[in-house]
Amino acid sequence: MGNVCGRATAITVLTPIRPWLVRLSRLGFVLPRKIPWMTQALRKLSFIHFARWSIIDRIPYNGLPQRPERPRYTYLFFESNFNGTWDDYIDSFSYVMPGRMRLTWGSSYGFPGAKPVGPFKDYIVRNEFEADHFYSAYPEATATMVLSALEVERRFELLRARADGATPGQLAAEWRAFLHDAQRHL
Amino acid sequence: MSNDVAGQSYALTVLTPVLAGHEIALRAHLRKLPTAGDSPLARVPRTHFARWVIVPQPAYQGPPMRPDPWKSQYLFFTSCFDGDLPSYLDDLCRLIGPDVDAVWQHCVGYPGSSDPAAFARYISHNRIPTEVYFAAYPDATVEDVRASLALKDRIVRFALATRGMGDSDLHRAWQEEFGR
Repeated sequence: MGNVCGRATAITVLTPIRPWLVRLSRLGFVLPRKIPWMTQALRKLSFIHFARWSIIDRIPYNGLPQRPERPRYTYLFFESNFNGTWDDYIDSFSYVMPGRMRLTWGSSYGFPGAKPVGPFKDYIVRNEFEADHFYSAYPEATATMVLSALEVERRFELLRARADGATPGQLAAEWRAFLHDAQRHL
Repeated sequence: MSNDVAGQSYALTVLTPVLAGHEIALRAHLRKLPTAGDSPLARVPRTHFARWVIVPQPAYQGPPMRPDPWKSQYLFFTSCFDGDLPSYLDDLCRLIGPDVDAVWQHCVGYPGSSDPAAFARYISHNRIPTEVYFAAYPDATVEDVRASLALKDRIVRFALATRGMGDSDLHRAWQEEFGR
């Protein structure tokens, strides 16, 4: 399984954009850059480490023996690095943010809509490519584990500063308060 | 600010044409690379996630789309890494030069990693800019992530070991484990 590294899964999707919708598609990307709440929706999908969208409107030429490419269409490239199964991932996109999916892939040929999820999955399957090599630097950590660990560390540094020179009673109180506050991240 | 950047994290996407006749050899090489901590990419410690994907052809969607066959197969390389692009490309040459050569030697026009400036030009020439980059923890480097995961484990072990201890014993244990 080229798309899996430990708990991490890769998805790579390439779809042709309808020519008269290329501008709209670009606009669809300007909005999330300008309006943070649109990418906040991705943050709610707490199993995504990193994701990206690119628009391929030309294929660079490197000289012979490459034959110059003049693709008829502009293509949308999407990749995600997430944890969990492919099925859960597509389900979540479909249920949590169907509008965002329409904004993203609505300009691509063949996009059936994000709901119902069955045809949407078939569409992704048709247009995805399996990674030939996929690497994660921390394959056993889910995105939630990473975010929790970073939050624990932030709180712990505060505790550590307060613990300097504290009496046993003060330290014990600080430690218990830390555990109480941080327990959902531990 | 560039769309390739989120916090201190950079999204690199590269698309290079595979030499005709090399497709099977390239795929075989990539598929037999060791994975996770043994992957050559593990020796470029700024890399959070990366992949190589061979795209033989984009999928045809049926009418009204017209067939759009590409003349070559293409190798996609993507990476989510810490810091700026020039120094990352330099790291690829310096730290895993022979490994990147073993991959990109199957692509048209690849100059090799022994000339890092030429390598950087090649990658930059074939780079696809990012429209939107999402990073769940854009300010954390790979080192930060690993350190925080290790610290969390250490805190959990300490919490279990000191459960039910009186204040003085806890204080002593704290000084031993976390005192500075």
